[in-house]
Amino acid sequence: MAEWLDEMERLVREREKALLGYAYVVCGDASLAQDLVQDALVKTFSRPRAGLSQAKSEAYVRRAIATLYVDHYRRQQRWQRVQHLFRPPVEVESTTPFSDLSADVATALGDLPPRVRACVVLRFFDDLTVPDIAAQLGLAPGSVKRYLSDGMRALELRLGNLDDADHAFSEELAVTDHERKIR
Amino acid sequence: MTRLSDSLRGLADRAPIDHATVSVAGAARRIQRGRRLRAAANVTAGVGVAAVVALAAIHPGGTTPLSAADSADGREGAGATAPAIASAEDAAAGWGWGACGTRPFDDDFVDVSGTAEFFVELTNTVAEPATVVSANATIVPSGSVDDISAADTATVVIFWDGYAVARETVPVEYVDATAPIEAPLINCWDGAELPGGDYEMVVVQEVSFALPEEPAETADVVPALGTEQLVSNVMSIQITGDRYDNPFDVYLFGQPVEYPDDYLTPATARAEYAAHATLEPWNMAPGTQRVVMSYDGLNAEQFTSGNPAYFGCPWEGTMAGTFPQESAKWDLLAVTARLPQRLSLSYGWIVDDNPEVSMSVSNVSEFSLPGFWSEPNSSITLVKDGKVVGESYLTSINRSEPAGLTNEDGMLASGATLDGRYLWRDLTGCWTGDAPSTVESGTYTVLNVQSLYLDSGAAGMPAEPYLSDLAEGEARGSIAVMPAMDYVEIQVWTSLGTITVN
Repeated sequence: MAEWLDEMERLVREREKALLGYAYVVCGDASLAQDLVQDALVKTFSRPRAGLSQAKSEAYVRRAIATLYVDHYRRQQRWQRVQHLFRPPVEVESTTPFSDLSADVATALGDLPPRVRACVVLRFFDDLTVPDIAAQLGLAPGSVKRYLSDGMRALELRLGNLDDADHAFSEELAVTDHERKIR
Repeated sequence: MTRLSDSLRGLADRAPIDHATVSVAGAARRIQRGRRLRAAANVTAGVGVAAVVALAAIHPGGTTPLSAADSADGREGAGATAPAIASAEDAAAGWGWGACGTRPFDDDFVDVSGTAEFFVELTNTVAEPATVVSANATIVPSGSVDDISAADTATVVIFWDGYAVARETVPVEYVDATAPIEAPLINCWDGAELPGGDYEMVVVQEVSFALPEEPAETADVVPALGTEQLVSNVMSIQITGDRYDNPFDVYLFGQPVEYPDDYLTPATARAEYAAHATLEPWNMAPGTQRVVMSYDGLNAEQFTSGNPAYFGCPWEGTMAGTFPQESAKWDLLAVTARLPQRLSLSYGWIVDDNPEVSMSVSNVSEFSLPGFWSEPNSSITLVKDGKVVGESYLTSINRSEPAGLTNEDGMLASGATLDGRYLWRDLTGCWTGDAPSTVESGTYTVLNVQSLYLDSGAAGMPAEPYLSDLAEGEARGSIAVMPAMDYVEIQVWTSLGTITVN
């Protein structure tokens, strides 16, 4: 029974920063990122899963982070209306300051509604296909396409043309190196 | 050009999460509670092995052997039997036992007899602020188990009014089953010194021991070990210095939010909305207005599916798309706008004229209203035959210097006005299937919505009810009971007239 506990402890010990970083990309808030990772761990390890490897458990936790983030808004039925409630994120002091590009990306992501943001992250960070994102978030594929379309348009307005924008609806994974899958 | 995928990964690598941490103990505790696997108190071989494996992950190595002979120090039976947290699941929970803000004594203990007794005696029962508390801990093995060893750390937990407010894991070294313990008198949130007051303290000590031998199948089998986390007797300690009322409320319940005296509270909003509510359909004539209660935290179920108060594009086919049956004629905001009379639309983009929109929102109520930080909400909704057919989010006219915060507290005071100037760049038809619909040529009613999210503050309005947020069957106190964040969301819909789309 302690196997899951051992695995969870190891995952946090070795991948805490990566998971928190991923959660930050998903939600844009360090405090919420911390809560999301914590909740995702609980969600992932609450269910017995035989032979859970580290890579698998990390993938489960990452998926749970995105799902929890969207569910948070889905539960409250407020997501349709939060776009105009979004305010510039509070500046967070960090010992590893953003580069200009990272700051721009963070700001641009922060302007996206939650579902749009989650879809963009799952597509371009996790390399999931549109059907996979739809299944992950419990949305219709058409809705995912719409969110991606909205998201890419908004991001390109802020960031300029993006090299991989055309891949938004591609069924092929844009994986260029294996390392991406386990970052 | 930039690759978005690379940018996102760069953002993750440099995310400002230096101070964020993940608590394995906290997660383990919640998982265990969720699984509802309350095992019997007895430590069995199976769970014992699991527990010590987990323990080793936290405290690799570092145990001090004790022996039954150590009990010959005259302490046997001298005090209360130490409660202990045993078995794998409880060991997991034990890592989080006494976590900041919890009331662990409200939880069930597993009283373990027969392994050891654990006594702690304070050296100083009165301490100066910003000093340390000193004590001597003694483990008295009962002799019923072999090879009992203490971990090389112990956890000192200090309580105020039942809440754990200080928790420090300190090194211990047992000599003849006794170890001196010292812990700083600082809180477990930000390390600030504990203020003057009367506190209680316990020490938690993990021990491991050999379990009764089972027939070995191979020669190199590892002996099975069990673990327990012994909780000491409760000691009273007084800290001198200034005393404050409710000194830990900020940590336990959050920073109180100070709203203006005339702030529109959720309770008042409900009452006012009810007083002005009507079932009369809204004809959306220019200049008319309706208020919708779009979410109510005390009546959440009504809004969790098929929200009857939603008005907008019928996304995902889950919404009716028509204006809510119930609304209110309630003068809160006066919204005015200068709009173009016609738009030329091509593929969703507005071509020709680069139309400018100015918008003004004035608070015509007697209340201070939140959420107005810099500019009015500039979302535009186009309606045809009572249904939304398209939406647009206007672009602030100054792209290089986005509007800064006009109101530091986000409040629009009674009588105050907020203005904004925008460019109307695009218009998105409501999505049907997997593509946005085309907004056909014609004349449409233009609506604007201002949303007001009204909450009771984290702790500033104690008159609101309390929620415990505990799962069914979960012991009260395992989670700090927080004051409820009561909230409602209301929307002020204003008809800005009509526009012709070509």
